[in-house]
Amino acid sequence: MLEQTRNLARRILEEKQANGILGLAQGEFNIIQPRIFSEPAELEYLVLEPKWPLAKMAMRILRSVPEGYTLAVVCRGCDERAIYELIKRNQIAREKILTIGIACSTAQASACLCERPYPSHLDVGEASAGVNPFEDETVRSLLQGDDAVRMARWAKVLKRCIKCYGCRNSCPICICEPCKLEDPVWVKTGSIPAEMLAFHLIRAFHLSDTCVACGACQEACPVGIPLLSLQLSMRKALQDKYMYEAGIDPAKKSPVLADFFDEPETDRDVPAWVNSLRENHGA
Amino acid sequence: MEHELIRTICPYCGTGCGLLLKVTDGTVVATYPDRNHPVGKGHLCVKGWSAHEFVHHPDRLTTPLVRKGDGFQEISWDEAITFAAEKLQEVAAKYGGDAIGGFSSAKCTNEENYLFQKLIRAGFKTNNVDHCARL
Amino acid sequence: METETTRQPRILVFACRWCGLIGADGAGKNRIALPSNFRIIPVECAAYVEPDAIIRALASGIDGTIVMGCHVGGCRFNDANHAAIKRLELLKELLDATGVGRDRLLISFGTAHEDHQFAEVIRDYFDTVAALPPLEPWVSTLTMKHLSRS
Repeated sequence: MLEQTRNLARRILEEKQANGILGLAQGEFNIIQPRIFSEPAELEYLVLEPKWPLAKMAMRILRSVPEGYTLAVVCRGCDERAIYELIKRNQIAREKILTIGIACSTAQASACLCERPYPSHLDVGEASAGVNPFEDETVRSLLQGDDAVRMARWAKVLKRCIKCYGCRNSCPICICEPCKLEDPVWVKTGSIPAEMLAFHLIRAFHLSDTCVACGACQEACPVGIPLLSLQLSMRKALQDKYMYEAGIDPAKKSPVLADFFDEPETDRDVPAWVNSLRENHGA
Repeated sequence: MEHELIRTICPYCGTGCGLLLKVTDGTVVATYPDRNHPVGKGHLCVKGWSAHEFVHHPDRLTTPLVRKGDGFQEISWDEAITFAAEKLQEVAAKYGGDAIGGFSSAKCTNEENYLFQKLIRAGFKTNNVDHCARL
Repeated sequence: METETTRQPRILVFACRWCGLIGADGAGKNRIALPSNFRIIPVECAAYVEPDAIIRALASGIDGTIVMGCHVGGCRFNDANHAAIKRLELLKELLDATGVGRDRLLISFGTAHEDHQFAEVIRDYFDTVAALPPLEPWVSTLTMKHLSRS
């Protein structure tokens, strides 16, 4: 898979399809870090492991490139979804980016509890089946079952938060300047741990329809809070009721933002989630 | 357009987590945690995440300043060191070594801190030496 | 000391002024018997209520929130209330996921434009919230001091 990726990248540079390739490079002392490869000769240092979300870095790079510059990015499934979401939000110009899609191994998919461990434009590797996160023990203990018990479980993990903003900083979709989480009107400053409701729920809700389940937040958390699990229920609700998944189609807007008339056709005579004309108003 | 990712260590505390500074055309613009680093392991605290912010901050001092009346005047390093040495020696001579207190920093190297405490203890003959984390 | 189980729930109502607020005013004028521990914030439209405000309310010691708006199809601002429902239902998913409880937010559209309708919504909601486990473990802000004790 590595040789294939290197060859493809080499061809992209030689044929001038892109001016640079953003990927991981293994250098001196086996240190691995992201790098922009501009010359085919540099590609001997390209590696594909470990998982390192590059979408946000690509966005930042593209903010300061000269006119006509195209950046190719070595993308896993989650990177591609993040890039599509950023395109929807006008943070990346579609014509400036090219993806080199690589599939994740089943081991990686299990580690990330990923339902879709491959990009839609897959260039290298075999798409594996993906994992249902709701079958995971920890996820179930947090998201299913008695409310009071779960509230206590969540409180226990969220109590560890040191408000490092690592989750926000590493999330590829968190791009707002200024960020509401730094606003003392919404989130109290000067207290550790971060207010569980205000900080974590506001952050989770802002990503409700745009989280691509890349797990960057969870990986960045120094105290191991299962942040990805905060998003799973909302993602599932959007899938079930609106057949919508963030990051799959760069042209499809989130149903929360879309018009009344863009709702998918159903056999109900009113769109989903509208019940004020029925018996149990205001459920 | 030059993009670089420089591996370095966070300057803030004694833990020394590794981080990557993104430098675009000579300006430090972002921080990423360094996954290779055995201490940080790809994690940072809030100070580490904002470690790049002070580098080009407009409030950052870049030359020594001496107070003149209500404001400050820029002077050279030589002048500044001479001035500080003279005044400290004056105070020590007049009021004794205990009138001097030295505050060092966790950002300094062990070697720098060794020299500093030697200056305060052996030079000024006082035990009044501590560091910034106690403030 | 008043225990959590005996304390009356604190409810915050965001009432759209074209429907819910009319009912609220009516209930007040006709002195309909209602539990008293609630406050109303009038809004121009239910779509005006940002979900972060609900979260902030819960984080500040409020036990339950209600958003009152007009019937879908009857919104003065066309389909604004429909957009509000989608957003708020998504918030309920999040509240449910964390165990805080989807019942902490009641979305009542098209039900409260008459005084007795308003009273019924309030009365029923007070019962719902009183039955919920206390939100205290989430609301109290622990400081470093407390952490070192535990």
